Amino acid sequence: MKKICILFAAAILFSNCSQTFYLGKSPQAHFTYPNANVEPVGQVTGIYKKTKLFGPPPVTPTVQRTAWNDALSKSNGGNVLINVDTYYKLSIFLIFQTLTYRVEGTAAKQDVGLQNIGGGK
Amino acid sequence: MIMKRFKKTVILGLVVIFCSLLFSNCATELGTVVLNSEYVYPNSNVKPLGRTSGEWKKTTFLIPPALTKQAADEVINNALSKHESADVILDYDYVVTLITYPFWFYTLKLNIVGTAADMEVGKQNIGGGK
Repeated sequence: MKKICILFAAAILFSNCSQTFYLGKSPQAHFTYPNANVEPVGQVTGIYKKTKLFGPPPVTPTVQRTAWNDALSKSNGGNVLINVDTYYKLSIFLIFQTLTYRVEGTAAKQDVGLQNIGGGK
Repeated sequence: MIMKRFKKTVILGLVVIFCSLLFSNCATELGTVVLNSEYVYPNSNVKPLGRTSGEWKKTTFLIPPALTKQAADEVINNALSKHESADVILDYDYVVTLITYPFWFYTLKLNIVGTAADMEVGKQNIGGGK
């Protein structure tokens, strides 16, 4: 009986539950100026991970920006992220809850200049 | 005789209740207007090609279908496929409908209606300003 209890407790202790949600696609993560040339430089993935006791870590602008910056840091000179797919994963292990915020998209290089708009009034 | 008529009425009532349960459903709809399905490059020429629509549908038993990347891509591709050379959908209505049927059947529907457009990416002259 004792052995069964220990096995049961171990099963609960080492089991975990996680679920991933697709949050959708955004055409762009950063503003791109109309007076700019934007050139894609490659496909990138960025992750933000945080563990909290008892409750799930909240998704804040800091979480988003950290994941976007992580993705951009893996690109070759990209400064904006376009066509971004976002995933939210919550893993629960006993009282620990881990948030994994993942973004996948195209890193692009934005070169801002000046358009000739002097023709109007 | 009365007992027989009563029995018949009860059976008929049960059949009506069963049929109404079987054919009734509950739909929850949620929608928004989306400007563009893909990133629109400032250094591009975008040409509207006409109205288009796309649909994606999935029915499951017990657990409602989840919104996945594959579903979101499929509804856009479905709308794009209706116009040759379309690259992007502009100003579209995006509606998600979850229909709950009796006996734990669920249908998730995605619908979009918007303008299909062709996007040709080039390079604009941005050195000419004052």
